[in-house]
Amino acid sequence: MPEPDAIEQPADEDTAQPRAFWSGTLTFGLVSIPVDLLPATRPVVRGLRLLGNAGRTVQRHYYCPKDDQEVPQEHIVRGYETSAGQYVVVSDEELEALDPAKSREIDLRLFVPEASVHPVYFERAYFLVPSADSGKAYALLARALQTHARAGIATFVMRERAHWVAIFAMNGLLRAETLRFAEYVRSAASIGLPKVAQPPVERVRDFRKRVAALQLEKLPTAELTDEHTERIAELAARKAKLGKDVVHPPAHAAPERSQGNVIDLMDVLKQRLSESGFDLQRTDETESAPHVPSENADARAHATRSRPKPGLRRTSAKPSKQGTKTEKRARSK
Amino acid sequence: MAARSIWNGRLEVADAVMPVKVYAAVEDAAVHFNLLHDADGTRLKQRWVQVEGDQEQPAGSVQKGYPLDDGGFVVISDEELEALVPEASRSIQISAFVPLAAIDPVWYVRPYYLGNDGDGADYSALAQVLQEEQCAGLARWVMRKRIYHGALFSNSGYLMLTTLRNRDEVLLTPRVAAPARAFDERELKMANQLIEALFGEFEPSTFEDEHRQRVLELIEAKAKGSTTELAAPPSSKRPTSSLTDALARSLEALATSKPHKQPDARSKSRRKERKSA
Repeated sequence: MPEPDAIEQPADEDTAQPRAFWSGTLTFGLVSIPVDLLPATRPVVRGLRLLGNAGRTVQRHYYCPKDDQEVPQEHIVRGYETSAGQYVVVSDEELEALDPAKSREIDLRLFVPEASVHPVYFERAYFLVPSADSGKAYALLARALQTHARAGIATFVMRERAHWVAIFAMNGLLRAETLRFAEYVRSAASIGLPKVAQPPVERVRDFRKRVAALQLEKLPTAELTDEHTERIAELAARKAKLGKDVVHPPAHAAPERSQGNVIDLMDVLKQRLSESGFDLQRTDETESAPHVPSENADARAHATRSRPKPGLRRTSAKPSKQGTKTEKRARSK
Repeated sequence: MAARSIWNGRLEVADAVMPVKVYAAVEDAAVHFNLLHDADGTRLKQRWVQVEGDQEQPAGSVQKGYPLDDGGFVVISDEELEALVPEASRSIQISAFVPLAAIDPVWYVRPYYLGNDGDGADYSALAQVLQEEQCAGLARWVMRKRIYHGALFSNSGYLMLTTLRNRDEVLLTPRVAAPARAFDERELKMANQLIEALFGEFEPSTFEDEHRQRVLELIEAKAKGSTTELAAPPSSKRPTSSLTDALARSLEALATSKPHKQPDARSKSRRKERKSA
């Protein structure tokens, strides 16, 4: 695929920006519910690191080729290349001013059956977390949506991009799924796929049987493992046992800069919910956070315990209440 | 103009094997910016630096290491990594089928079309069954040295394959109970009425990315040297009132005016301009 790496590691400069939360208001009629968006996905935390000299970890930084010096975040601006080497600088404030209301508000004015939102449009999943005093209206909307399997639809602006979004409820929580605009999803016709002919009846019958024979009720998430990283972890565990190619960064080398700054999204979610009066209930183990399967437990143990906690790349958010108010931080790039 | 496939393979469902071509289904929507030095607009470059105390040094050569519990690393060479590359294959294997509704949206990454590359009978039969049963196949394949998982489903008679995340990347939704006495039955009834009053069809084409066009217009205006006036920040929220009151007034307002079912549908002409921009 042309963009295999884009799935996990955006190489593009502007998508390499810190992934920020969105803070704003969910409106439903005249009911306003202040909320924050918290990603329901996290970057892959296991896997190889790049090392410099003698096992020192390395970081990526931006530097000015003129004087070879690092340029700190506050001196980085964004420019759009209009012709070779010519840039128009655009500030975050200018971008937000293009549609200030939608930068702050998700206004639900249309509700549809949840199941009618087609997966081809799904882009990225978020949790909506209530601000401390919005728990009541939040809980009401979550209940109403969940009972009738409805999704609220709106457009809003996050990180200087417009998103079409479906708001739905699951397990008593509000979720947001950003959606791709239809204009960016190709049609079979535009790709040039030929019209599909009516299949012979007996072929359909054969496939019905094949599908039925392989039918499961739930997604077998245990199969959705990162097999490649697991193999690397196994190799690393074997080599570590033999003491082969093991390096320890010098004691005076700082730990990874990001280490103190990453946060556990699930912790933030739970903390914010309990501040708003929600009770977390025991979940079925298969529905909770990914667990380490018993096979390869040795190798996996390294992976899960030694790493910084999963969290946002290069943000300085802390697992505190302030840590989730990142609008300012998002703009300070 | 017909698009080019990005990969050709064989879709395998039990004993049935059908040749398919894979096509990207999504166009890049982002307006791409470069990062510049604010002092003089020089385009910045990136490099790896190693951290030593509070000093940063450009890293000469970098190697790859797998972290250990004690802060150390096991260095893995490029040759070792090469030996772990999954064996090349043209096979897209379907191991199971699940109801579409059983796949939480959080798993989906990126959709692709599968184009029929054979006689078409198997392809259209499978697409029809997936449509009727509203289910998805769980797929695994190796492409360009990587292992992918995906969901195979039907869309308007065509097969689509969407890549799925690894379980380590996914936070599943915890179950919560609402605060005690958060709302009463009357409020719930009003909320349901409000939702039903605003009920409509899911019609993707009625939502357009107008923001992108505005961004491009802003850039164009600035390139011509015009200065922009920043819009005032949005006025603060509607007057706060009790939840019951807000719901009641919302329902009253809806009763006196027709609901906007397609709040974002605007003139189609903008779309044309954007495409040519």
